[in-house]
Amino acid sequence: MTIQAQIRDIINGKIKKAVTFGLRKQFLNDQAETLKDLIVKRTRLRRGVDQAGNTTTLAGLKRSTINQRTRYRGNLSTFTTPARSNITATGQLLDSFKATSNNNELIVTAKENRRTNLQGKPSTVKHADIIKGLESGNIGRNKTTPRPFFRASNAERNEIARNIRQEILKGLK
Amino acid sequence: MAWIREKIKVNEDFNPLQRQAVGQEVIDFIVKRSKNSRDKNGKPFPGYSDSYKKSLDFKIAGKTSKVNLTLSSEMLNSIRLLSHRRGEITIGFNRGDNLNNAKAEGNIKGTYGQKTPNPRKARDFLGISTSALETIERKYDLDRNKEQALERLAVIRELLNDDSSTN
Repeated sequence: MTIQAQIRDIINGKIKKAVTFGLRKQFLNDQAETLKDLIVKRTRLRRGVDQAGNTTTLAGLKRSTINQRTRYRGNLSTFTTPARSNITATGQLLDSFKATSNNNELIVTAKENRRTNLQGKPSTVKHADIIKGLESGNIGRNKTTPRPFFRASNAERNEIARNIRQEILKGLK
Repeated sequence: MAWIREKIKVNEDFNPLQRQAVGQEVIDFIVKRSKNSRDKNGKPFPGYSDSYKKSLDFKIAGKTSKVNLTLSSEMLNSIRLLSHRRGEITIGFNRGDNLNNAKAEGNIKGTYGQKTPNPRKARDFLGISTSALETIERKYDLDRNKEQALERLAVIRELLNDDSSTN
């Protein structure tokens, strides 16, 4: 084996170790948590994400929806107002988000723990169905403007990619 | 609206991979420094207005009085290495990214939606000092730091390959 080949092998071995370090389960779980927080915060700030990963302003609420939210203002989350379109009424959907990682994938899911609706009555609506409805604009029998939000934006991917790259480089030491 | 970008002179002997590696680290440095309330000259950012501090957005973002150019984090996370050529890299925002170009322009000029720039309110974050750039360049300089540079460049090469294969 030439000296050059030996050096290459040493470097490859170090890189392999560094990548294993940067992709360890606990670190990726932390990154999934970071991603979840970014999605929740961005959504509460009225920003959705289109299929290309670009952020968009979430469509405004209809007058009838604003009126209803005004009537039940006491049940609104403290992170919204009657007229604010931010996928937040009681706040249970965004609060239910859980994060984990599996096979180097970051996974954010909505837990099915919905308890009450805006009127304060028990609710059987599933979070998964709400998300699907917001994405397509078909909520039950009602048609509404699509409000896609439940994916990572390009900017959010950049932050996670940066964190992982820095961790891998840290693993070289 | 202006297209916000910054040309930065780098070592003329650096190859494309070295320039890409330096570009990424320059962006990382700018993001970190901005989150620590410092502009490109190391000066502290001007403080937030009282009305902004009382806003619902401020509360949602969990912000404190520490100015860090971070509400949703989107602006800082959208800084990219736009291009590079011998002896130079260009970082900034995609030309078509109207929202983040506008946000960055507002911060850099201190306009924040107004027509007239206000240097007293400006937070000029896009740039790097010569000494900070030298520290970054040293990590990728094969003449001065061969072992570390080879390792780091090998990692960056792998990540860039991975990135281009998944896009």
